Amino acid sequence: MSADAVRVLLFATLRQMAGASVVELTISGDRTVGGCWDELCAQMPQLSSQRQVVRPAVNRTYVGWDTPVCDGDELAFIPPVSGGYRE
Amino acid sequence: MTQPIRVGPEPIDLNLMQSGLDLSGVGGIATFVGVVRDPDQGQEVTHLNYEAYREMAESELSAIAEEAARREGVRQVLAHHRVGRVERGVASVAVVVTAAHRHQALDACAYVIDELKRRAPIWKVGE
Repeated sequence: MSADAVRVLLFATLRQMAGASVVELTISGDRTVGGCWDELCAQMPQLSSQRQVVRPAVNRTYVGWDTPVCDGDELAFIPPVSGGYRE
Repeated sequence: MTQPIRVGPEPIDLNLMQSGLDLSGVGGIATFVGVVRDPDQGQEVTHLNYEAYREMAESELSAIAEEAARREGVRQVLAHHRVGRVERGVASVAVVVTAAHRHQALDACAYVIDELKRRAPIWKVGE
């Protein structure tokens, strides 16, 4: 089965927890936003707790978790934006 | 004339934002300016750092501006948000709306800043 390359952008709290702002994922199984999240968390288990608070976006538009992801897509997981946070 | 929508490090320039407005048929200009609050919840704030998913923030802000511009009487919508370090008391965001009547301008301006806070991928971040 062929594998797709997806670029994942991480911001703010998620970027700090991951220690990276960009992660390149190779997905060959579940080609949805949720599948990409699971793959991301397999590499970075420290992000797992954030599933309930982040909102996914594909190619700069908010989408649902079951949205299909294609080779070359730009995926982002958006941490809560309202009010922000401070350390 | 300035860009109607901008997310970037440049200081907010309200005079520049208002200078290029087309006031034909306009009865009111509503402006909202958000500043870095000090103190905040009893704590001293010297500055804030804003981080943005800039391309998406601009596209989301453009969509919000288009929604506001479809409201009755609304003519123009401008929104600028800063990224990077902003000192206390300094503007981090500004919204300017022109409309035929004052309540149309005020309501649309409130809509834009409320939706921006809810939808634009912009965060206050620690050092």
